[in-house]
Amino acid sequence: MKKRSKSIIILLNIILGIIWLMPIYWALVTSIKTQKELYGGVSLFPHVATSENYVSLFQYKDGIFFFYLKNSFQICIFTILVVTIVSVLAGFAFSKLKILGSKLWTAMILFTIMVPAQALMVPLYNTLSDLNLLGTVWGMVLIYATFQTPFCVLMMKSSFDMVPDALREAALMDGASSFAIFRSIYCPLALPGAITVIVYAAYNTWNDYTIGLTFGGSSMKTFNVGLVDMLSAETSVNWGTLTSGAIVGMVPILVLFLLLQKHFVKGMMSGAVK
Amino acid sequence: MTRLKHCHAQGGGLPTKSRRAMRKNFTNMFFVLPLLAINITFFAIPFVKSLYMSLYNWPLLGEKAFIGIKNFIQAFQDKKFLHSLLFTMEYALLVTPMLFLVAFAMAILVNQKFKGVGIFRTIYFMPVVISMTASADIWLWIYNELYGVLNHLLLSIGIVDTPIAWMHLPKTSLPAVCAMVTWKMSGFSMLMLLGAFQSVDDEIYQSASIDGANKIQQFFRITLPLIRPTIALSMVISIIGSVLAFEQFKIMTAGGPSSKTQTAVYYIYETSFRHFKFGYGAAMSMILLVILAVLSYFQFAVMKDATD
Repeated sequence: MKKRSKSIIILLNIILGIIWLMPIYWALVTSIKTQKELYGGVSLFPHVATSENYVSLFQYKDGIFFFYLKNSFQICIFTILVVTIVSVLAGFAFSKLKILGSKLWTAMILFTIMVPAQALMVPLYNTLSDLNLLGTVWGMVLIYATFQTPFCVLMMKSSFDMVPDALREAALMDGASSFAIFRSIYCPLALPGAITVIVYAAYNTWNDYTIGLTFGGSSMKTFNVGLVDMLSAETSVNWGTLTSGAIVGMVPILVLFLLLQKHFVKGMMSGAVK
Repeated sequence: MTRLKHCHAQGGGLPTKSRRAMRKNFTNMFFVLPLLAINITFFAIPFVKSLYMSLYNWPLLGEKAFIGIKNFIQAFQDKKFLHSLLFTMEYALLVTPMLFLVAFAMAILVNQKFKGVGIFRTIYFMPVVISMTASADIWLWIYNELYGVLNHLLLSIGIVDTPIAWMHLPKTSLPAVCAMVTWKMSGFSMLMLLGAFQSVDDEIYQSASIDGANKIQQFFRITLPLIRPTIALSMVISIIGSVLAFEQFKIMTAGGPSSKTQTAVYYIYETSFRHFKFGYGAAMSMILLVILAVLSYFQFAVMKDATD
């Protein structure tokens, strides 16, 4: 009886697992099918694998997807840098240093976490336009950072909280400065927390569509926004090219996920539950 | 030793010491300065500004005029806005149970001990990782009227006689989007529920089975009551997420047919950035924030439950 129920569970897992992988698999095979096969009926495996869809994706509008990818990578890398630096510094301060008005700042962080970017699009557009940052890398990076750092600061604070104070006192005794202690004692110990922060920032920035659409304009159009543009022009683009766009968009983040699964899950789960 | 004393002096009697402590406090501020600068510029000020803008007739160019609460009055008389709120609610009420049921079944399926269970957890979580844009792209292809694999399947089994234009009919587009979101987000709730399942102490089950309770009784009498707070939390999170829905409809239905599938955030986006009525957009955003505040209150209430 017990063995049978176990086999049923495994069987159900296999069925559901196949269903769950199917859309991604379907996009992948579609993207390597020839146009003739694509529109000539449904086949689970391509008769001939071709890279023509990927070639046409990157030839679309004189290679505009190179530009979109460059924008997305650029924004992503700068956002990760800003978010990590800001939240490591502030997380350390809130955990280990005396900060003027720290209660007020903590309340502000918690409040920021509760307000989603979607509810502040209008004034943010105004602020970015006043600062001449609309459609610029830094405009986008700062908006992403604004809505990502609150959670990341709390994340870093709790990882610094786990480092015993005795270490800091011993270093103070030896005459080390705040910065030296921070760099040589805390940073290495808080590394796992920092990796979670990096992964969280990468995930949220790379996968974003709304902020890119609203603030990127055409000069800082991200990959996702460009992909949707192409999707809206669906009739003129074939589905091999459209699915190859989805594949190109998901590969970087899936690779990151498979490499750093634990950090990924930790960041996402505590990021949503807060 | 003397250095240590100085460092620990906090506002002591001697003026030199307190000045030193002040200076130290001042250097400490440098650690939080970047955070404060970003937060004040791009959160606190815009937040206050949105209150202020909501009281104005605020076009992209030209005169801004103070109009008091007229934007709010207009919002509650605006049929399109009210419809978008209703539609958002409809979406939330449809997708939340769908997503929850699938996630719950998944959590049970992977809360087992067999070789390779981790692979299934990873597979179920994978769609969560990819972007809404990529998911919507893939599902639009699946739902494609003429060449989509879904219509092909339904036609060959004989469930339908003619291909369905999934995205162009109000009756089918909402469930179709919900199915996509269920596929994409179930893995997330699954992990929350799995965590709850595994936090139930094994000893409770052992003593229950000694008392003669079978697996099904144990599930309904022990597991369910114990994980109820997590169930509530996962549902509230899903409702909050649905209230903010925008991308899935913008990409998959473009709000159509005839704005029937326009969510609240979508309508605010269109008003603000297509018609450039910033004042009105800000006012509707404030209304949305109030709705979210109520939901967040529920989230905190159930979270307190979940962590107790």
